[in-house]
Amino acid sequence: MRDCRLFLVIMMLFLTACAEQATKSVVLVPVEERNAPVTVKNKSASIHKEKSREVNKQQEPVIIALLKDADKFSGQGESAKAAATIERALRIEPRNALLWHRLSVVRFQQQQWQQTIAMARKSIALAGNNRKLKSDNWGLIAKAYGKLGDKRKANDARNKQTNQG
Amino acid sequence: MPKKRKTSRKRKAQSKKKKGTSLFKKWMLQLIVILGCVFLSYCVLLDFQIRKEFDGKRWSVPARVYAQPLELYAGRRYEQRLVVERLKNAAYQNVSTLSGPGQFRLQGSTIEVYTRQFHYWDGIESAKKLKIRFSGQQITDITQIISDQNVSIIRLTPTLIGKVFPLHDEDRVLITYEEIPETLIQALIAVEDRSYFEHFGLDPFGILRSIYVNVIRGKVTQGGSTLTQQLIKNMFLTHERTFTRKINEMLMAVMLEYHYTKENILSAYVNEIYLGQNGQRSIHGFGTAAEFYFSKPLAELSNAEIALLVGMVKGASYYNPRKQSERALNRRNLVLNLLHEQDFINEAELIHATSKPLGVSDKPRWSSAKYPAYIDLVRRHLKRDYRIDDLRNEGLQIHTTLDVNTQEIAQNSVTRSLSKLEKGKGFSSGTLQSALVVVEQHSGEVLALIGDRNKDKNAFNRAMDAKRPIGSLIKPAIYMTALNRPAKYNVLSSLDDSRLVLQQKNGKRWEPNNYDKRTHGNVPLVRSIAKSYNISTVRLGMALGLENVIQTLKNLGVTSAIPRLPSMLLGALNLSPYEVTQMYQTIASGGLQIPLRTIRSVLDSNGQPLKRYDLAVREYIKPETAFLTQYLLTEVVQNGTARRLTRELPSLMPLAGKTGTTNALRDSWFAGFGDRILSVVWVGRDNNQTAKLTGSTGAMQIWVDMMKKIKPEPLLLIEPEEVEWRDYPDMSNPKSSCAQAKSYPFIKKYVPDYIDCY
Repeated sequence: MRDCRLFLVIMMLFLTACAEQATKSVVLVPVEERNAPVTVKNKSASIHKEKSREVNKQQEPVIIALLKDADKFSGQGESAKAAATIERALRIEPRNALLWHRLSVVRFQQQQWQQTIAMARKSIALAGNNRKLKSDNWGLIAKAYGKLGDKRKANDARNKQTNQG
Repeated sequence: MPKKRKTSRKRKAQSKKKKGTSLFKKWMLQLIVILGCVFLSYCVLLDFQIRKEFDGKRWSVPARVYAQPLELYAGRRYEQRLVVERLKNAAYQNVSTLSGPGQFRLQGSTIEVYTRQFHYWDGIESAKKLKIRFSGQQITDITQIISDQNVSIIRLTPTLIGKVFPLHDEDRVLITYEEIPETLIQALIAVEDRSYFEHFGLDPFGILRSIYVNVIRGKVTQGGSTLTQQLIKNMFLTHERTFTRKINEMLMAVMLEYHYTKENILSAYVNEIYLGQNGQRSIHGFGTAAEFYFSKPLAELSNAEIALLVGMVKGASYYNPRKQSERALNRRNLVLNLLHEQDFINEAELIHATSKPLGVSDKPRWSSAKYPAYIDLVRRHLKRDYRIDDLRNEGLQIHTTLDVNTQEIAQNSVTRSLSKLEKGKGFSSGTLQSALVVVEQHSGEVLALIGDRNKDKNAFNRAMDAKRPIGSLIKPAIYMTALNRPAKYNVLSSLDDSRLVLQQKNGKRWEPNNYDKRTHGNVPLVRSIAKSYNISTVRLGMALGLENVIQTLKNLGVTSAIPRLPSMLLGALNLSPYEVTQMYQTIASGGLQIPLRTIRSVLDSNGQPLKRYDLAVREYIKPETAFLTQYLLTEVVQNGTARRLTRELPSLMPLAGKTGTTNALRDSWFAGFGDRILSVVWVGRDNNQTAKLTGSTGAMQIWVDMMKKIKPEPLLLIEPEEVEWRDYPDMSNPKSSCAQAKSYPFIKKYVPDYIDCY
C-alpha cells in the first residue's frame, strides 16, 4: 500500500515535469512584421547588466550583527522584535535577498501566511542565481499555501522548490 | 337624623376631599418620581457625554512624536558635518570633556559622543560613550571609549518633532499642566475665577451676584461663570444665552469637577478656550494663541503678553489686538492691575508691564509642529493602523519614519524652485503651489511630505487632499497591463501612433492628440512610453480593455474611483500626490504593494508596543512584469521626456521616472525613483488656472534640485529569473541607427526571434 502511494507520487512528479517540459517546447513567439534578420554590428554595453552582478557580494558586518540580534529575539519567542530587527537591517540593505527570506521565516512563525508568501517572493525576485535561497523560499511558500488550504499553489511551489535544487 | 345625615354628608364630602387630596398627592408623587427619573437619566446621559468627550481629549499628557533615529555603523556613507547637525537637533551639547549623556566632542575627523538612554520598540538602548571615526564621507568605525570594543551599530536619540493628542484632528499647540506659566494661572484666577481652587465647579456667590444684576437689568447679561463652566461652554454648548443652557452648564460643571482633578480641568481650559479666528480656523488654547499673536512659544511670553491673552478670554474679537489695539491695551492693563491687586506682581513689575506696547507680531504664524503636513499624515495613519481605545492612553511615544534631513532638503527645494519657476513664467510670488512625497520604496516608509510651499502652513495638505488629474503618470499602468501578456507584448512590440477618432457613448467624438501635435506611425512600445505618445497609448489601452487597465491601477494601490472612459487612458483621473506615490511604490519595489506608512511603532507609557493592525502586504504584480515596467521608466530618463535628468544628475544614472502634464498646462507632475528613494512631485495652482509648466519644466525641476542633495542610489535593475537580456537593434530613440545594438529585457519564454527595426 505504502509503496503504491510512493509510486503514485513519483509518477505525479514525473508527469508535472513532463508537462512543464511540454509547455517549454511550444514557446509562443510574437510575430512581428519584418523582412530579413537584422545584423547587429556592435555589441552593446548595458549599464544594467554590469550593476546586477553586485547582488552576490559579501554580507556587511552590520547586517550580520543585526541578524544575530534577530536570532536571539526569535529564540526568546519574541518574533515581533525579531521582525523589527530584520526590518532595521532591510533599511540598510533593502535589496538583500537573504534578509527578505529571514523576514518571511519570522512571518511564518507569526502565522501570517500571506505575508510569508509576499516576503519570500520578494526574496526570490532578488536572489539572482542563489539557487539554495530560492529553493528555501519556495519551500516556505509551499508551506504557507498549505496552511491557507490552497493545495494547487502549494504543489506548484513545492515543484519549484525541487526544480531549484 | 338630619343632623346625622348632614354630618355624614359632611364626612362624605370630607372623605371625598381627602380622597381628592390623597389622589392629588399620589399623582404629584408619581409625577415627581417620573420627573426625578427623567432628570436622573438626563444627568446620567450628560455625565456619560462629558466623560466621553473629556477622556477623548485627554489634555494632560500628549503623545510625543519622534522622527526616525539616525543609525550609524561602520561603512555607512554619512558626512561628519551632518552627524554633528543631527546631534545638535537632538539637543546634544558640544563640550570639551564628556561627563554625561547628551554630550559630544569634536576632534578632527572623530566625534566622541555620550549617547542618551532611549526606549525603542525593540528594547532599551543604554547610554554609551562612543568614538565615531570618519574618513571622507564615510564612517570607518565605531568603538566604545572605555573598552575600545567595536560597536556594530548605534541609534542616535531621535528628534522630537511634535506633541499631539492622537484623537484630535485640530492643529493645536498643546500645553501640559507642568508647562503652563505660573503667571497665566494667576491671571486666570485673578480675572476669571478667584475661588477656582476652592469651589466644586460652581461659585454660589458669583451666581447670586449675577442673578442680582440680571434681575435688575431684566436680561441675562452677566456670567458669573467659573473656569469650569467656561470650559463646559467652550467644549459642549452653543453660545446662546438661555436659562436651560445655563442650567445644563451648571450641572455639567459639577459633574466634571466630580470626575476630574483641578489640574486636569485647568489644563483642558488652557488648551480649549477660544482666543480668536484665523480665516476659517478658530484659535483654541493659549499655546496656539501665543504662536498666533506673538509668534513664539507660550513659555517665552512676558507678563504683559500673558495678560493680553487672558484679557481676550472675555471676547476674543472684541479685544482683538490686531484690530482693536486701544481696547486691547486697556483690557491688558486692567488684567495687570488685577494681578497687582492680588499681589501676584509687585509695583515695579506692574509699571514695567503696563508701559510696554502690545508687541503683537505683524503676520499671524501657525505651527503646532515643525512638519505640519507630515504630522497630519501620522494622525491619519494612527487611526488607520491602531485601535482607537489604545490611542486614548496618556503619554504615548510615536516613532515615525520621518527623515529630518530629507524633509528639510525637500522643503528647501520646493521654496527655491517655485520662486525660480515663478520668475521664469512671469508669475507674481506665491502663485504656484506644490506638494511632494518622498518614500523608501521597499518598506513603504514615508521619509518626507510637503503639503504647502510655506513650511509652517498646513491649512490644506495638498499631498493628501489635492486630487488632480494625473496626466501621463497613468501610462506605466497601461504599459504594465500590456507587458503582463508576454505572449502578445514585449518592450519592442510595434504600436500604432496614427490618427485616431473615438465615438463616445454620449455621441461625441474624441480625437486624442500628441503633445507635439504630430502622429508617428508605427513606434516600438519602449519609445511610445519614453516619448509619452498619446495616440499610441490610447490605442494600446483600448486594445487591452479599459477594465483591465483599471484592474492594474487597483493592483498598484489606487483606491479612488476610476472613470471608465477612454480619456482615463490619458490621465483624466484625479489622484492626490500621496495616492500616486502608492501607485509608483508598487512599481519601484518590484511589484510588492506595501501601504505607505509613517509609523514604525507606538509605545505606551510603560514602553510596551501597542498592537497594530497587520500590514496588508500582498504581491499584486508579477516581479517580471514590474521589472519590465521599471525598465521602461529608465528609458523615459535615458531617451524620453525626462532626458534632462541625464544631464543634471549624470553620476546618479540609471534612474527611472515619468513626467505628467495636464490640459492647458494646469498640472505638472513628476514621479521618479532610484534604488531606494521614490519621490512624486506636483506643481500647480490652487485655483486650477494654468501653471504654464509641463512635467519636465515644472515638477521635475524640484525633483532634480532635491535629488542633487539626497543623492539617491542608482537603480539596480536586477532581473528576476524569468527575464533575460537580449541584444537587438537600438530602437529607443528615433535618431539611433538600426545598426547599433542594445540590450533589451524579455520574458525568457517569449523572446522574439526577429524584430523589425524602425
